[in-house]
Amino acid sequence: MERFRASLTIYTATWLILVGGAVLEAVFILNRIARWPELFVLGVSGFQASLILLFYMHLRDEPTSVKAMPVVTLLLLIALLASAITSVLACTPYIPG
Amino acid sequence: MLIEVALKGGLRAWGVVDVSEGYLNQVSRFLWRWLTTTNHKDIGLLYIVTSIYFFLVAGALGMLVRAQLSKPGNTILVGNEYNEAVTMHGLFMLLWFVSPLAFGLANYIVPLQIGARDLAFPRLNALSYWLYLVSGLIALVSFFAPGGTASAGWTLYAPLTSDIYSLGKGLDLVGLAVILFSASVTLGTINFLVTIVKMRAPGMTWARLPMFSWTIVFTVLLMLWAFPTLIAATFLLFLDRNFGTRFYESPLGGSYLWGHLFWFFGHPEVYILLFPALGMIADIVSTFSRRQLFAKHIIVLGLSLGTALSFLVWVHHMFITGIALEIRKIQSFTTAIISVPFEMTVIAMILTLWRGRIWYTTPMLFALGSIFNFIIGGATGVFLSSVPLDIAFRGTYWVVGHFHYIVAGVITFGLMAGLYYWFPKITGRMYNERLGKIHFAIAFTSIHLLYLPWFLLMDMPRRIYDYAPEWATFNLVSTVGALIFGASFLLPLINFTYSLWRGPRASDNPWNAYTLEWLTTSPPPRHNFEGEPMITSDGRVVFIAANGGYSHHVHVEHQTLTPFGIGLGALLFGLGLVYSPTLSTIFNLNVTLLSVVGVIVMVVSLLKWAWNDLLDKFTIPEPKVLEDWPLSGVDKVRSGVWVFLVGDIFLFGTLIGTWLFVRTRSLAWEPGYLSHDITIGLVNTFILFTATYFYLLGYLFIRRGSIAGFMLSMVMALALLVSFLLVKVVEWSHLVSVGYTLATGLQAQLYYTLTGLHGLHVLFGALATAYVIAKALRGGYTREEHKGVVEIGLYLGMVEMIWVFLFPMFYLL
Repeated sequence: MERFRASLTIYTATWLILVGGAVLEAVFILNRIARWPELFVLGVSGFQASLILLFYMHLRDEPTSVKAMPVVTLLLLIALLASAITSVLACTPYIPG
Repeated sequence: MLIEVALKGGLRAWGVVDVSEGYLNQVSRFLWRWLTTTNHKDIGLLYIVTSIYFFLVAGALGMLVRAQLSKPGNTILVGNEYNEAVTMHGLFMLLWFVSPLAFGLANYIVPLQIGARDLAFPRLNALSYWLYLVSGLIALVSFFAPGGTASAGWTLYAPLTSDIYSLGKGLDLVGLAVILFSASVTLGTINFLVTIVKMRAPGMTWARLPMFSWTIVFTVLLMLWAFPTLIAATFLLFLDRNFGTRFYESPLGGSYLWGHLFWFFGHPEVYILLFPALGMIADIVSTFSRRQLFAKHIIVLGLSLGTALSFLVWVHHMFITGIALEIRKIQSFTTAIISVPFEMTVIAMILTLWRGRIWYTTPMLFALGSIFNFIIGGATGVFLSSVPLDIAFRGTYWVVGHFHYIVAGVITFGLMAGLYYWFPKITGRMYNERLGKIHFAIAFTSIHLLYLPWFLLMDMPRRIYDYAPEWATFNLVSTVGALIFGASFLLPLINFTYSLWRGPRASDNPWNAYTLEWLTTSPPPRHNFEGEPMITSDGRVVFIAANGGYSHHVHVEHQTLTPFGIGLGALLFGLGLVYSPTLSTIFNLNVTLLSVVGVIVMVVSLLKWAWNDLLDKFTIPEPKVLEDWPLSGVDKVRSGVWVFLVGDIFLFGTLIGTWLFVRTRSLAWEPGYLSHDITIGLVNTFILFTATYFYLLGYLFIRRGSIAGFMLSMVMALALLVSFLLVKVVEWSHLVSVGYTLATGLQAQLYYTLTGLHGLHVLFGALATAYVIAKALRGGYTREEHKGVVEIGLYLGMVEMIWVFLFPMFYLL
């Protein structure tokens, strides 16, 4: 019973933060409160995704090897995106800068 | 008559028929056995035979190309015909021959090497094979499509692949084939990773894992992260060609986008092809030198470094695109140092030979030949890490020579070594050693005749069907080499076919090898080992009990037609895109009778699959004792789901990256970009979050034993998931009605692509939840036994996680 309540509390709190985060995100962007909207949105989404991974998908209870899988995936994605975007931002013969 | 003899021979060889049975009965039993098998050894054989077939196709195309280039002014293949032959030669060799042959051998050998009864998910394994076969057949059929097959080169560079430069439906079929092949690979990735990590026999620690199995681990890790990018890239290409999107034709860096996506897959693909061959060579060198592999732990460390680094070198394929200098510098450095792990591997193999008692058998000769070729192929590749040299060599025969030395000289030689090495184990017969050595001698001499001149043709452009007379001599020499090299592969075909019927019986361990597969009979029984293998602390193998663990006889009943059905449906769908009366047209995509039938066959097969699961027909108890670190405590289905999720996250990550890429270039979207109603977006976000919340509540209830609470929560979750989809349909309808269509621009194209793919995931989530409810109604879940609930919850979590990025991308920014 105790375990049930503890889990229920965690799930409910996570749900509240997720919904609240989405509303907050909308309010901040629409009212132009966030100075760097892209970074703000990335931060909120990253935080929400971490909550889902840790508490809904129970990544915190998995062994290190499973924890490493999303982390490595994230690092590789960052490498791909950083290179792709940097190459686009740089002046190139094919794309007028 | 010949076919009848072959069929009867085949039937007898596999011992599936009673001679007294009628011929038709025998054939039907034979077909039923192979169409429904899920046994890893059967699937391995199917892979091997099919990949050899595609090797012959690819080889024939290569020979045609060489025939055209034998002298200037030839007209055997000109213009687009030549481009088609070059394109499909590359694609068939890389996608439908090399990896599938390696995975055919892996299918057969890896479970034996680790002491397992089968792969972790036998039905998925069968599905992998059928998708592979179907993808290859669709690629083959593309030759006969109006307008011919793909001709844009195996790299499918944009904008050559646009419907302006690649007319007809051939390229669409090839694109579909690549997507199906990638799906097959993804399933294989899940299967092999879970099998090797979770199903090793007691005592088969990581340190004792044979090199071939080690390299399969690295290969599937590479596949896990590389192939989702190829799926995403090809999916966007398919949309460009059939739905009017313009991802790769956009002046905002469309061709750049393809370059990045393709090569992020393309360079790791080189190691995906290479690693299994290296593993085979390492095991073979060790066996025939009568020595343990020198510094095995260093090799493993080196290969793991190579795996990681392989994702940080793709830009060297794009040095001439004017890419940012900083990025070029970084990737020039990573490209140079990636050669180090492979140099270490080669040195370790050479040191294994040192003071070894070398036995020059055919597999050993091919392994040695492969090492020799690796030195040439590797050294010529290091030049390409330098930006100035790469710019000079780009698009010349130097590059072609380098990668052919790797693919043909190293990998194909390695695969041949593996085929000769395990032939006695697989068939129970010895091949003809003399013929094998003749094959090696001819192949080894002719390969240099074929490829060495290409380094001397370093100023000759690739992808041309005619050339200046000063390049004639080297081209002629190369073509002579090609003819001899190609013809040499008839020898193993003859050798293996003859030996299969007439070869002397092979003993269980004809090579006195050290690894576990040699401790069972040749060929192995269906259940692999008589007893449960266990490796003691001093390295001895003992078999603890006859048929210990779960009995493999159960597996024989696990024959199922559903994987074949799904494959057949995919084939009909693919063929229907071109060869069937059109019912209607959506954008440029023809909806045809055959395609519709294909989809129906696939859906029925999937439903049958789910029904079998509902009845627990395929439940295989996990053995009690295993070496399963580092996944101890995570059952194999959950492990598999995590692997799948990583691939899926990468797929979405690539598409979200595409959004970022486009957005970075266009500081303002097209007018009206905020036409999506934020309220609708928020409502749907709330619905999705709440759906997952209810699903998790259901999980809590079932753990408490409350079936009523479980059912109520699951029904709520399902209702909310369906609501999400309905809201999406209403939203899309509204947007289309106000003129916000794919023709609006890149932002609209990204919106429909990403939310559509996400919606498809929500649909699968809803179907999975419905399955859970159906199973609960049949009394399939109890407080103690509720397998599957957690795994579907993980999937829903991933779907929700993707949405938290899509919502601000399309509704707020």
